[in-house]
Amino acid sequence: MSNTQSIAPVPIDQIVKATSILHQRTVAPKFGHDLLPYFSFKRGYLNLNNGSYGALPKVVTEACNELMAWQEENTDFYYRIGFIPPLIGVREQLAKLVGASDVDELVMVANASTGLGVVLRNFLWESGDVIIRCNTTYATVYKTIQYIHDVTPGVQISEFQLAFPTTYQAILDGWKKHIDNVKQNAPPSKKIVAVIDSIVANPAAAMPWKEMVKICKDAKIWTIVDGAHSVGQEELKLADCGADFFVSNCHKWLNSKRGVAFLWMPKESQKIMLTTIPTSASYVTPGPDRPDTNIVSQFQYNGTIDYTTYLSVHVALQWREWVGGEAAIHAYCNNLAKAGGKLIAETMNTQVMDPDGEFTKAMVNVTLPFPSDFQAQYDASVGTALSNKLLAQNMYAVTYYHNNIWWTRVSAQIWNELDDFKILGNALVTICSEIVTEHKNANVPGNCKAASFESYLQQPIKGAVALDLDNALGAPKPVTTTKVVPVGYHTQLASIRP
Amino acid sequence: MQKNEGKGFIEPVTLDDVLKPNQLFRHHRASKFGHEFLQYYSFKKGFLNLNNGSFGALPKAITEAYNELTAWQEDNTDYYYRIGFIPPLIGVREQLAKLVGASDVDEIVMVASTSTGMGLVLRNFLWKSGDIIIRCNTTYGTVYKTIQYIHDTTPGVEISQFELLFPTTHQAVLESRAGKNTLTNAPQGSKIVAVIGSIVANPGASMPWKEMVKISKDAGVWAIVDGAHSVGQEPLNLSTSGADFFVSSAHKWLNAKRGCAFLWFSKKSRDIMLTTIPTSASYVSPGPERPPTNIISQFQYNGTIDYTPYLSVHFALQWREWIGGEAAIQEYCNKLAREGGRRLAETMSTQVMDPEWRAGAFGDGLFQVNVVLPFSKEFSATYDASVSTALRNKLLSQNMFAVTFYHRQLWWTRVSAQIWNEISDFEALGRAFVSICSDIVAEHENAHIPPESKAESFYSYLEHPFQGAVAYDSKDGVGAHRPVTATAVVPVGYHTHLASIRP
Repeated sequence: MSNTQSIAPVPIDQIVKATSILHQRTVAPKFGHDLLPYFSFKRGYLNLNNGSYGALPKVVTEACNELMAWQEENTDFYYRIGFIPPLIGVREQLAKLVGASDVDELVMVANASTGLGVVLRNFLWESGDVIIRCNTTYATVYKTIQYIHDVTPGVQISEFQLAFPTTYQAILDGWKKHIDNVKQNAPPSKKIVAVIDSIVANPAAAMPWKEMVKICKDAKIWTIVDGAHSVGQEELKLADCGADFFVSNCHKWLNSKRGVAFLWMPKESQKIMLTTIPTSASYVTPGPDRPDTNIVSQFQYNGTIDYTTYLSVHVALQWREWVGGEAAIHAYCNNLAKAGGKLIAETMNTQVMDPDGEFTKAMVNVTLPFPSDFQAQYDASVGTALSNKLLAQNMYAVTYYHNNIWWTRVSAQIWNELDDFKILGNALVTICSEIVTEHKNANVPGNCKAASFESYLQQPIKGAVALDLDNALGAPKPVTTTKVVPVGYHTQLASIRP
Repeated sequence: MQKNEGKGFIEPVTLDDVLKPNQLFRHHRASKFGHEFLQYYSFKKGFLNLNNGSFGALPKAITEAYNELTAWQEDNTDYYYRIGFIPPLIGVREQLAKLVGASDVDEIVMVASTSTGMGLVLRNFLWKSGDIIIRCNTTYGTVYKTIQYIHDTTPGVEISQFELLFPTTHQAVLESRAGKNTLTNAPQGSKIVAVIGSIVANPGASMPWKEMVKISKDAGVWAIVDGAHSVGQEPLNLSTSGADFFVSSAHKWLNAKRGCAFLWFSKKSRDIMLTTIPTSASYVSPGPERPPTNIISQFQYNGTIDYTPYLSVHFALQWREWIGGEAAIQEYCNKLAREGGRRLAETMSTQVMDPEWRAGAFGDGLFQVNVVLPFSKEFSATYDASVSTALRNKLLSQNMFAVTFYHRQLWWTRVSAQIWNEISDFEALGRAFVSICSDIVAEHENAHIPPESKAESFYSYLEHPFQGAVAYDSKDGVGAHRPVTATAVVPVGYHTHLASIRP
């Protein structure tokens, strides 16, 4: 029964054959609808929301299937030897892409929420410490900070208010004032940690984050950059950026399989990082015997997961190279976002948030055609209705409430063309007018409403899942797979996805 | 979505609607367990898999279901993440709740792995000086180290370690458990939290965990059960178990896709659970405004992950039904573990850890058996990580695998019996071990073993496992640590050490 078997590590290119299709065609199709066959959207689905979850090219899907078959061939080989060099290879490729100075500054995590959570949880918080967040900080991070405050007596939250539209100058002036104020009032020996978005989610806004980081560094404040949307959407040079930590999703704009992200932590920052979550078996108690690279070892394995998502980055990068390369992709999406935003605004007779394009990369924000009295306060049922009605029309773009206005955030991707924006605009005109009408007669539960989205987020509507055709009063009820219940106007889902 | 076009509303779908019915289930399955079942799995030709215990194995049918679920995710990803995945996920939780005897679906949530679930529970306790955490020397590495970390970063938290030395009996374990110095010495107002393994990993050993839980609860101690190996290997009735928390991997013995586990907590224990990790957007600060089910909402979504492993449980349960059902699987594997263990010991001229499988007394893991490896006493006097690595590498080089481990100054193998295994597999493994062990003894004499390879016990080695990112070195076994890229394929040598420790 025994036969000799090589246990030499194997590079991904030997395992994955799917990418051969990339090498066969010498010229990729041009950007636009010609690329739709390379993705897996259901026929006719108009995808204007790459930003939330990304989209997996078929080639990468096939490569992942091959990687999973490899995992099942000899699972012990895979988990004890096999996955390691390819994983290090992916880290090296990413380190190069994002301008890190060494592979061991970069580790893989499941998603940006996880990466930011593990950093925030590694600080040893004490009474008097201050955490700086914004009203626009992404909800999982926002709530992680809330949790830390809730369970550590004396930890303060200092929240910086961002109100769009605005300008870089206004933001930086405000930020400097805010930081100075925090610094003045904080106890001298305590730490201050700021979470800064490189690109805010809602609204989609590319921030002057490097300048914001510098202001913090000058004040000796820790900086954790939530770069969830950055990699693949903008060029990164992390070694020079001055931040202490940077996290970005590879499954959003870098075509990798959900969920995968990287956490960048230069050598100095690694001193903060005691443990992965869950703690790895290779964890060593802090002290003189603990090697500096211990946290890097811990990130390599800390519980059985499917490494395919991490390894898919290798193939995703090959795809992006073939389809045109980073610079061409960024340029196409940026131009289309700007032109598309203008076209939607014209179609709906509303405005683009950022007409000068200072904040715009591949996503654009446009106000929705609601009357101003309709939007006086936040109403979660409107959010749900917008989402459901878009899906019912086989399309999607994010909608959100900010600064007393309902907006749409539209992603421009390499499969999109200008026309897509017009279609969306027309659909939204109809949808918004329907909602205004229906809302008059609907029984909207009281807890749907709040002064702002942020205040609603403090206590989002509760319950496991509420899918209720009959009783729009939204009594949340669990649902089983055996009962298919249509989703009605007042559907509230327990988890909030801004 | 065909169903929803023009309707003006969105219908959630059940998993059986999303996927075409699996053609496989229309046919008669192979008539008996054993090598005939290999056709349903994806092992490389000739690979002798005697280690289901570590990572499980995915039947081809589940791989197919997985691929279709992934396609569904890409069809319309916004629909999937905002609506689509939710009812199927609740359905899976209901199915698991029924399988493991929970009293309500909202006592069960899904997590990525047992390590994740255990870490989450331990990290939700608000630790303070005077608190005590009870673990065993055999507590699984990630949990062992989570407890270590909590101790290291919370002044005044004590660890009380219970030593389990095998072979032993249920009776002996329970009796020594009953001598509670720990409990009588705890400061007033402190809490004591015990982590209890239902089935220890190394050795593979089923514990009298329900009795241990009872003893703990009677003494006012929290009981978190690490049940990683339990679901699919032993029947569970969690609502009557008395435990506060129970975590088990669905990808080990329940045929779900890696990584997938569930966390069960009683309604009372749920009050401890403040947050998921990462914290969900739906987190509400503790207080009168926070609903008791908030943690359930949090577990539903707390960052973008691939839900497919969780959803695969639905199909894994269909598969297990089709191949014969839980009882048939249990009977076959348990019998094979016993007989196989005996044959293995005979082949190697060594012993099974618990040769008599004494009913009611302490015994080996249900589908797993531990057998001593043919090394001399002198050779086994201290732990040596290089021996561990050599054993692993040589087994893999022979296209087979079973876990090997060091316990109580002996080297052992832990062998898993699964529905694709037969007695001859154990014999083949035994013959391989005879030559492998003899090779190792000969090579070891002339090899340059780094001193950090050695330790008194595996557990003391675990305090400072071999460091460095990755060391792959064909020439010099002295392990100069060097990072390795994917582009350079370097053969794995005798003294290869990998940074992460997998007991």
